[in-house]
This record gives sequence, structure tokens and C-alpha cells, in this order.
Amino acid sequence: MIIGISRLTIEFQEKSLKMARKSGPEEDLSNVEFETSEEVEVVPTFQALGLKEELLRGIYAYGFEKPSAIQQRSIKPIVKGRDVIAQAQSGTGKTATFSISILQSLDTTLRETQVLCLSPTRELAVQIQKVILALGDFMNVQCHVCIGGTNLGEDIRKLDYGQHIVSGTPGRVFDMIKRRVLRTRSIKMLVLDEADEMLNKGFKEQIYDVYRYLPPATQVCLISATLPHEILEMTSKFMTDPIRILVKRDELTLEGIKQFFVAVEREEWKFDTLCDLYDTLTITQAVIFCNTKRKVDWLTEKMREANFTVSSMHGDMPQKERDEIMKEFRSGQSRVLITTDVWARGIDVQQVSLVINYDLPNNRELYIHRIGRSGRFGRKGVAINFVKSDDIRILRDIEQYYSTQIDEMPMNVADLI
Amino acid sequence: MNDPKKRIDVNLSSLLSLKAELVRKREEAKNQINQPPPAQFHHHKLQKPTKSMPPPISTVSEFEDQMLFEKSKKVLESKSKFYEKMVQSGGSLNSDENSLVMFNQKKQECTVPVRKNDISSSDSCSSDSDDSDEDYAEFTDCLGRTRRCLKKDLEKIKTQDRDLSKNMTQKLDTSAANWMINIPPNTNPPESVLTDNISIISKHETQKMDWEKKEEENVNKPDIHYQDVFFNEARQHGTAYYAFSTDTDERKKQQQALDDMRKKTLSEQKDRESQKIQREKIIAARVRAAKNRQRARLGLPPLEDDPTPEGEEGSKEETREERKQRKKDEKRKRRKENEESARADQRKNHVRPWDYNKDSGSGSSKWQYKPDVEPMSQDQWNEMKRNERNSEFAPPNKLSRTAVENSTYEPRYHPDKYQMLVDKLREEKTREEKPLCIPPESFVPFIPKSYQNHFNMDIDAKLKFIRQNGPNAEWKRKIGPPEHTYDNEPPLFSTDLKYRDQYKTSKKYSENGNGKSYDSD
Repeated sequence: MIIGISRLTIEFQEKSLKMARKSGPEEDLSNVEFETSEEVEVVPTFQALGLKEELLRGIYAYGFEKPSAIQQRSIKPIVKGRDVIAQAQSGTGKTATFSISILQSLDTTLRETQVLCLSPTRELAVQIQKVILALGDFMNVQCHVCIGGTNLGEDIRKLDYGQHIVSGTPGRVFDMIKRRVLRTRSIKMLVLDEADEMLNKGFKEQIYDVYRYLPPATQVCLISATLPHEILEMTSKFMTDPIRILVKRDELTLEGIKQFFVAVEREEWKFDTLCDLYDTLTITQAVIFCNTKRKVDWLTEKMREANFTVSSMHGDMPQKERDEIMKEFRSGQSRVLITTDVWARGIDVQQVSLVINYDLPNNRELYIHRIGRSGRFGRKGVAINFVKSDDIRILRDIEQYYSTQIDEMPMNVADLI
Repeated sequence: MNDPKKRIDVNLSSLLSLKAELVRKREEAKNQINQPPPAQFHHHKLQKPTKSMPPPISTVSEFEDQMLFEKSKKVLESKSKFYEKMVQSGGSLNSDENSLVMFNQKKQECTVPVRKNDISSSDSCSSDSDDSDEDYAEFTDCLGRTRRCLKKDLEKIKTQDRDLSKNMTQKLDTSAANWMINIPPNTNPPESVLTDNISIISKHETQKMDWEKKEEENVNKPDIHYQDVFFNEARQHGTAYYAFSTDTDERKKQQQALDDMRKKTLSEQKDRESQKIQREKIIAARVRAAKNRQRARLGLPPLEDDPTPEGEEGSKEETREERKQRKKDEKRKRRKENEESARADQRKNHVRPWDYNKDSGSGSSKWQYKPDVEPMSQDQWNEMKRNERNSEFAPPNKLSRTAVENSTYEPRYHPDKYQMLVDKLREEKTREEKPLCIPPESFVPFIPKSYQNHFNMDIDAKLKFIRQNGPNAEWKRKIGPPEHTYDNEPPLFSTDLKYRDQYKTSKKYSENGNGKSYDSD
């Protein structure tokens, strides 16, 4: 089942970007092509990285044996204290990359917040906490999750105990900093997971707000599977001579994830198609993406009326319910999840092998992230896009942009899962 | 294959011998046809014994097959005889320990076929399968199966069936693939079916409850670890994964135990390594001694002690050639290091645009965020709030703590503000068109008898009384908040608009939950 991770190709360019080093904010970077830095070293094993023994134990216990391409390249510079921009295909161990680096550079005897890790969704923040706790299990690391929709008092109390790492969403984290509950004086690293999303219009202001409270020249790490040019342009504002580990967009799709489309003439036919596919969905676990919360509710209702067991999740649900649905899905109690783009980025459930785009995503980046919910860490995955005749153009555009192949769905799609 | 043009390369003699073989076979076949056909094998197990004659043999190969068939039949016949003998003896003749057939069980099955309700014609024991159907009766048993038995046994079997049906719920085997199909429609599904479904549901429910319980526990736990947030996730871990206990002490113990084991393993490995080295040394010494003995026998001098490790001299010679290369490398390395350190300095001095105006705390003192406005102390805060407060609603002069501390304190009085408020209230009143509850002129405020004496006390005493009786004291509630803004105390209830408005505002004030300020903190 596990396809060798070595198949991933991150091509590294010899040419480095010299001018970006001294770039001021006034420089126009729109014509610059960003490439992987030449000083990037490849470390083939975890032992060679010189990690703490307890951390190594945690890594092996979690199931990693050999570092993936991105882990081989980015852990060392992050541990060294350099600012790093790391890009890698979905499900290739990015979260573990920065988690390992964080844990390596942590001083567990000092019970103060040393690392702040921000992510765009609450579920992702919780997941990162989990990964950090798992990898740092033998180090007895303390990682607190600081997200909206939870009890403020509990948050305050937990932070008062003293936490090594805080993983959270920008709103609540900023609130906690302003309340002076989350003390920033010992923070030495800021990690932005799904960095392109975090520096997008909606979040950038909040990130700036948080950043203003951090000590100057705090180490910053940006991690994402997609890093559009405009994001790379703005990094000079808060990073110092960063090391870039980038992936070309034509290598961004994984070979292990097979992509298909089903042509439907009308919107109504999508539902029937989905019902026909239900048996395939439940082979392992599946995620169905809609573009709006209302549509998620509608589709869930309709599937349940037709006697199909599905669960659903979106941002308008109370946090408690969201938590519960996540737990059910993670434990395998529920097998089919209908959701919005709140689930598109970063969420890692090993058993998900099928993603259905009931609606095509609104941008190219989201497509990569959505289909990346399947095929986790070298496993096989299948993505099926439901397209109306006028959507086919969009799909062809995606196909071309990432130089990938999206064929019509074959009859034996179940065999591919 | 049948290509006529294809040349067949065989040598002549083999062709000849083939021809001879053909002739011989033909001869044999002729002889065989003249002989009578062999007796037909008859066996119980064969449902339809072949009574028809074997088809006429046309070719040699068919005849050979026939012969083989006969032979195998004979063997089978003898085997089946032997088998029956074994069955009858109940396995006592069986000398093979590893026999896969349980002959003694077979015998039991044969002797009590009725008890087992098993009279199917396929059973090897029922030898009278050829009997006519008239002796048999069919009935449906409690499991819905159609059974067939001898008419004379029918009653006996039916009683047995009734007994069985009584115990059926326990005996029904739900593990079989299609166990449900044979259930008669009027019998209830056995309890186990329901409990199975319920058990799945309740399993999920209990799991959910466990999660909730865990979360509640986590709230009060100072240290959270992986197992605390695991929540039964279906995740593959590495082989080295160890699920620590969620109990802090237990966890510590487990970690300690693991640590001890690790140390033990390490020391054992070390010991083994050293032992191995020692053993190798001993063996080497022995070999040397043996060799020396041999050499002594041959009259040669003993071997020299410890030959120096090889390659040392070789490497010395190589360095000359490599020295240049190494020096070059070193130079390059040094240059790189210099570059790197220069860059590091550059990085250190670089100020990011987002870091502008951040005070980087020169040298040793750690940077600390300095808020634009210093946080206020509680007193400062109180003072600020007091200044914000409408002086009309401030506690009376003599009550205020500052007044006690500092007799020169004068509460500020804002007549304009007051007028504004009155106007606003009037406006509000007209907007709402809700008549203000005004007590009639003859209204005497309700004062409980027990409080009557206190009513004429001076304000300090009153306040003391209020404090003693708590905020919910009946007296306080009934008459509303006391008025003490003015030196000339207004009547509690008045038709005078001025006072009425004032009453309303003061009432509002107390309802807003700010009534506390009357207690002059």
C-alpha cells in the first residue's frame, strides 16, 4: 500500500536568488522567479540530523523510519535557527517537519512559551498539537491548543500553567497575547502552517497583529504545499534571508493520487452520481467537498433522506460539534464526511483514500489541497471531480496548470482505492 | 501443427519402432474385444450405478482408458470395503495415529441416526436409501427445515423437535452466514440479534461518553500528553510505539521502566561487545600459539609479536598527492565559513520592515513587549471609572472613601449633564409611550413594620443597616435605592416630575447592575 516516498521529486536548482538577500520593501519582486536555495543540504537519515534521543524515540514510535524529501532538507536549517520557507506535496510530512524542528530546538526545562504555531483552522491547530505531543511523548513536552470557540477561562488557566508550544488560530492567540496571558518574551520561533492561506487577505492583518508582539527578529518558518508568487514576494517583510525549499508546480501533484472526472449535464445529476458511488466511498473513508456551508447542509440532508449514512462539518457549527465529528471521523466511526473548504487544508486522516469534489474548488491552490486529503504519506488515493459541461474548461485549466492528468472516471474505480 | 509442409526431423529407427508399437497395440486390442466385459463395480455411494454397457471401444487409447478405469474401480472397491470394516470396528483397527477420519465418531453416528434428526439419504450409514417413499413422512422442524423420516419414527422425532424449539434461542448459531433465513416468520428473532445491534450503538455511545469524560479530565490536568488527546484515532504507529498511561504517576513509572530497560540493553550490548573482543583475542592468541608450535616442530623461529596494522605507511605516501587537494578543500571551506559568518552578521543586523519601531532592548536585557498604554492598577482603574461616572449617581459626599481619607474631596456636580439626562428620559418616555408608574398622591410607601424604626435613622446608620442586611434585604428592594445625591434629601416617591425622573434614572441605574457603587466599594 505504501508507495515509496522516494518517488517524490523535489528538483533543486543550482541557481540561487542573490538579490532577494538585500531586498527592501521598495523593491519590485514581481518579475523574480523564486527558486530553491543552493545551500540546502540533504540529510538522508534521522540519526544524521543529530536529534535528541527522546525525540528520535518519538519519531520512530510515531511510525517514521526514514525522513521524507522535505524532512531531509528543511529540518536542519530550521534547527540551525534560519528562517525557512518550505514547500512540499500534500501528505509528505510537512507538519512533522516543523514539529521535529520545534522539538529539537526546545528547552523543556524552561516552562514558558517558546514556539508559536499558527494555522488557518481550529481542527488543524488541534492536529498539530497532537502531532507535537506524539513526537515529543518521550520528551514530556507541553503543547497547548489555543483556538476560538472554546472556554476562555480554561485557556487562561492552561497558559498559566506554562506551555512550551502554543498551537492556535490567529484570533484567539492574539486575544491571549493582548490579555498578557500568553507571554511572548521567550518566543523564539513563529511557524505559519498553510502559510499562503495565513498571509492571504483575510488573515494577513491578524498575523501582523500577532507579529508586532513578538520579539524582534524572531525565527519565522513558512510551510505549505502551495506558495503562490505574491506570497513569496511579501516574505521579505518579516523574514531575514530565508532558505527556500520549493517545488515546481508541475511536480506538485502526487502520482499516488489518481484524478478523475464525471461529466454531469445538470447539477441535479450530481446527487444521483454520488449515490451510485456510495459503495465505493465506504471502502475506506471519503471526503466530499462542497463550496458552501448551505450546500453541505442540503447534501447531508438529502443523503440521509436516501438512507445513506453520512456525517458533515462546516464552520457554522458549534465548536463542540465540530470536535465530536472530527473525533468520530478520525476513529473511523463515520466513513463519509461532507464538508467545506474548512477541511481542505492540512487535515490528516490516514484512512481517507477518496476525495470527491461535488463542486469544483474556487481556485487552483484549493484543488491541490482538497485532493491531498487522500493519499497520505505514500498511500494510494483517488480524487473524483463532478463537472458540469461549463466546468470542464476549469478542470482543463487545472490540468494544464499543474501538468497533471484528469481522465474520465473508469468503471473499476473501486479497484484503485 | 498440422502444417503439411513442415519437415519432421526424426531418425529412421525411431519411426520404425513406432510402427512396430502400433502393430503390437492393434493385436492386443483385437484380443481384448474378444474377451467378456469385466463385472460392474457396485458401490453404495454411487447414486446411479452405470447399468448400461460401456460404449463400444473404437480406438486403442479408449481401450487403455477402460482398462485403467477398471483397475481403479477395483482398488476403490477394496478401499470402500476396508473403510466399512474400519467404521464398523469403530476405529479399533486403525493403526495410523495421524488418521484424519474419526472412525469411532462415525460408528456413533451410524448407530443413533434418529437421535441426530439426520436421515438424509446422502449419509453413508443409511443403507436403505433405495426403499420406496411410502415408508417416509416429511415434516417441518422448529428451524423451518423440511425433514424426512420413517413414518414409525415421526412421533418420536416431533417430540424431540419440540424440546429443541424450547432451547432454540440459546442454541441458534448466529455466526453462520445465513442463519437468519431459516427462521420461521412467527418466531421472534433471538435476543442475541438485538443485543448485537444495540451493542454496536452503545459501543459508540460509550466511546463518546469516554471522550467527554477524558476532555473534562484534561481541563483540570496540568500536563497533557499524547494519550490524553488520542481519542481512539485509527492511526498506524511505528513498532516502537508505546501507549503511555494517562495517569501521571503511572506514566512516570512506565517511562522509568522503559528507561531502565533501555539502559540494561545498552550495558548488555556493551558487555557482549567486550566479551566478543576478548574471545577474539584469545582465539587469535591460540592460533598464534598453534602456529608457533608447528613452526617449532619444523625448526623455525616463532612468529613476531603483533604485526603492525597495515595501511598506515601507505596512507602517508598518499598524503603527498592528496595534500594539495586537501588544502584546497580546506581553503574553500574556510572561505565558505567566512562568507557564512559574514552573512550571519548581515542577518543579525537586518531589521525587518515589520520589526520597525520594535525596541530591541540593547544587549543583555531581554526584549519585552511594551504596551502603548501601561496597565492600570486597581485604584487607578477605580478612579478613572469614578471620573467617568455621572456625579448625580455617585455615593454621597460623606460616604465616599476618598472623602473619608481626604476631607477636601468634593464630588463634581454637572447641572448641564443632569438636564441632558432628564431631557433624554423625557424623549424616551414619549417614544415608548409607556406611562411611567407613578404612585398616587395618597400612596404611602410600603415599609415592613420591623423596618419602621430604622426608617428615620440618619443616612450613615441606614447604610450600615443595608450592609448588614445584604443586598437582597427586603427593605431595600421594596423602597428602591436610596437617594443621597442631594443634601436636601428628596422624598422617596413624589409626583414632582423632577424627582420622578430622577427616580426612574436611579432605578435604571440599579437595574443595570451598577448598584454596587452605592456601597462605596
